[in-house]
Amino acid sequence: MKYKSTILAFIIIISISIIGCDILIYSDITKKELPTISHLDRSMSSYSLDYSKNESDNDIKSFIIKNSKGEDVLINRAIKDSTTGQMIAHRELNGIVISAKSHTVSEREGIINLDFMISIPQSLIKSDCQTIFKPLLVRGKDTIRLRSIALSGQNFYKAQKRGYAKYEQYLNSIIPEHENEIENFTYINDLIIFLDRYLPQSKILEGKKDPELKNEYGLTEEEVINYYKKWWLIKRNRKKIEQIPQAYNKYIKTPYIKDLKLDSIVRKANGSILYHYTQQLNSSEKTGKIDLFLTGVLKNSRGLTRSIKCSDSLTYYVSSMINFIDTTPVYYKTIVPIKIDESYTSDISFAQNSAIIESSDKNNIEINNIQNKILAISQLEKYKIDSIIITANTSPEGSYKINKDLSQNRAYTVKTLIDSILSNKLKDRISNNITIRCHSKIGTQNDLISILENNEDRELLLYGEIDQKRLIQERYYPKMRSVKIDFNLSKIDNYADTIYSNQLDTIYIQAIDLLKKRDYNKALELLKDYRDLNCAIAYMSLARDHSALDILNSIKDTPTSHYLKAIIYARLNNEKLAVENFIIATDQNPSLFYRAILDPEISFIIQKYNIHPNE
Amino acid sequence: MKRLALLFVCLICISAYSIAQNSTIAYNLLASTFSPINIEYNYIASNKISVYANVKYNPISFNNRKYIILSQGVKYWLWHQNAGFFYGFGGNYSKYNIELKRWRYQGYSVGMGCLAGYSKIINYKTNVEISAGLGIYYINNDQFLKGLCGDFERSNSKLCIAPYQLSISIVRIINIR
Repeated sequence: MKYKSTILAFIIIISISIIGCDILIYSDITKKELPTISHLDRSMSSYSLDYSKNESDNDIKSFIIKNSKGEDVLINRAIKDSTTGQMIAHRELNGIVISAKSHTVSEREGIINLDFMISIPQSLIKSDCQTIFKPLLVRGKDTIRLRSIALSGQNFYKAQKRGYAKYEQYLNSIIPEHENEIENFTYINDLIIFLDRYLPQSKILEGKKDPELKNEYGLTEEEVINYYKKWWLIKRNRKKIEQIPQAYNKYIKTPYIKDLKLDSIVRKANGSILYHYTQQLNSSEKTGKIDLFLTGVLKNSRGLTRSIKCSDSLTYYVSSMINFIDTTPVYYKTIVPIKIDESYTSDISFAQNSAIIESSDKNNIEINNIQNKILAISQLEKYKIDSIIITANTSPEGSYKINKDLSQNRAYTVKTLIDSILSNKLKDRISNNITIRCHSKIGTQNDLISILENNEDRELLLYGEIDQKRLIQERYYPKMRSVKIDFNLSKIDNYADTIYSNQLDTIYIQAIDLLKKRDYNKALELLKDYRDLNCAIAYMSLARDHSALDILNSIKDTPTSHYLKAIIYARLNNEKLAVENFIIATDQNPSLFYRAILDPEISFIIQKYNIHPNE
Repeated sequence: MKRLALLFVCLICISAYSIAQNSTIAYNLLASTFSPINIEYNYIASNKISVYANVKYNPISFNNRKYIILSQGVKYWLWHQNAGFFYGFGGNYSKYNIELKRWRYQGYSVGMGCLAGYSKIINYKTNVEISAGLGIYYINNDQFLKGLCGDFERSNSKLCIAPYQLSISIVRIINIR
């Protein structure tokens, strides 16, 4: 066995080369470099991630504002020093990675914008492997998986493509079974000659089967074709079809992953790779603190995986406007309006074609009713009578002119009646400024119809055999001769009072609950009519800044309202007014300065103009 | 003997053209090194059975081996006549006058044997056939010294086992449209 040792060495080398490629997946462990996640420093850019906003009129270096004491204060723009740290040129941000572990984000319009920077050391990037990072958010009891990031090396990508090509080749080598059976699966040349010699009438090669064709020896087409079929090929084909899933697993060890946030190939890495990950989240009731973890996986081109440990987690604290909700209880209120209208119809009966009130029992009752009505109205505490309008109706008999004069006269008589009542009975209560007007109204068909509609005789009139005209004349025309008296009242002190009851306004409570649960749209629907601070908060959370501004300008000035106005002005890019309002707010309530650090609009302004609490 | 062989051949040819439905004529190429006439006539009785008759005739004008071999037999085709594998058996009669090594043998032999082979379709009318077989023969001959009018040595009569048929032949189907 002269060559025993060489053969042994050969075997060892081959086995190592096959297995060794898999061991290389752990080659970076000795270097002890880990991928890290960190927050961004936002000092150089605007407070929002919307880099397209142009800072048009804020290139002013300084301006003068009035603070809450009315004094003029000069504000200068601060100049930043260059910071130290991992200075790596990034296309969009001069991204400087700082080591703070927690960061506050604000919630606007029900959406939170999260972003962080992932840095991957160079030793983790190998051309044979693919690294996949999966960020994980933990919020209360929920865990949210964000979309992953994949970085692959060139050889990995090539191996992947090769695997897919091999699988495709395998699929192409499978002959489709049910089309062109004769061509694909038989010894076709021999078959043609045989059929030509012994079954010349057969047309099976053209596709027409004839099961009853037999030659002189009793030979059928089926027998011929079965003899000339390549059974070995059919069997092999079927086996291949059955083994498609195994072939997939064999050729494609690392399939393409869909729905990745980043899927790129790294050709050459000089130093670590940074990726700025941004994500929008819908805020929910329980959003107060969000934890971010990063898990990673290193994958070989042969499918072997190894998990990567990442550095510590990050936390985000979510701040929103809801902290400013005003929780003073609100009660039901009723509003007493300034002007009221009252009206009364009386059935004073006049004689036909005359304007004299007959003295009958009915008329006396009616006159009493009118008196009582006027008394009742004048006894309303807060109202006085401005004017009385008397309208006398006539029934449609007779000519127009006569009826017109008649109704006018009838109204005058009622007017004299009321005058007498007012002067006699209510001298001390009534001022002299009541105007009484008379109108005439001639009854038309519509009036008749409206009377008839409310009466039971309607059906009788329609279907009965009574003399309709007489019935109408006797019963309904008198009703059309009524007199309508309208009283216009107004409040004595010309103010609409609002009266508060003892009951808590349940709608308002519901609205506040919805606001706390961040259901801004529904809360706004309920709060719209109230137009107070909570309504402004709802508008601001929905980014309807101008409506919120209107409300804030109309309500009483409090530190909170100034602070909210500062936020709105900052959003509208009016930095002068923002700073002014903010300084007024902090003068009155110094603790708002610490709240300002949580709101990105204000914190950006603080940093830009270098505002300190005791300034 | 010559006339007998000629008659046989003519009968074959005539009968081929006149009555046979599907019959074939084959010419053995292997044996053509020894004899100019190697004709086999094959009459197809059914899908799987055919009957053959074989003539090999070598007149002395070619070389010093003069013989005539007549054989007849039956072939069973496994799949279809003239289209695949077959096996068969038959009988053999030959009369010969051969010079081999130092001796000249003159006599006759009778035998029977079995054979197997394969026939491949090449054309509408032609096949190629290979067959081989073994047989038992009874040989009865006189042995003479080599040369013209050599001396008589002795008479032989024995049984022996020998190949029955070894052929690579071209088959032509006749009487088919």
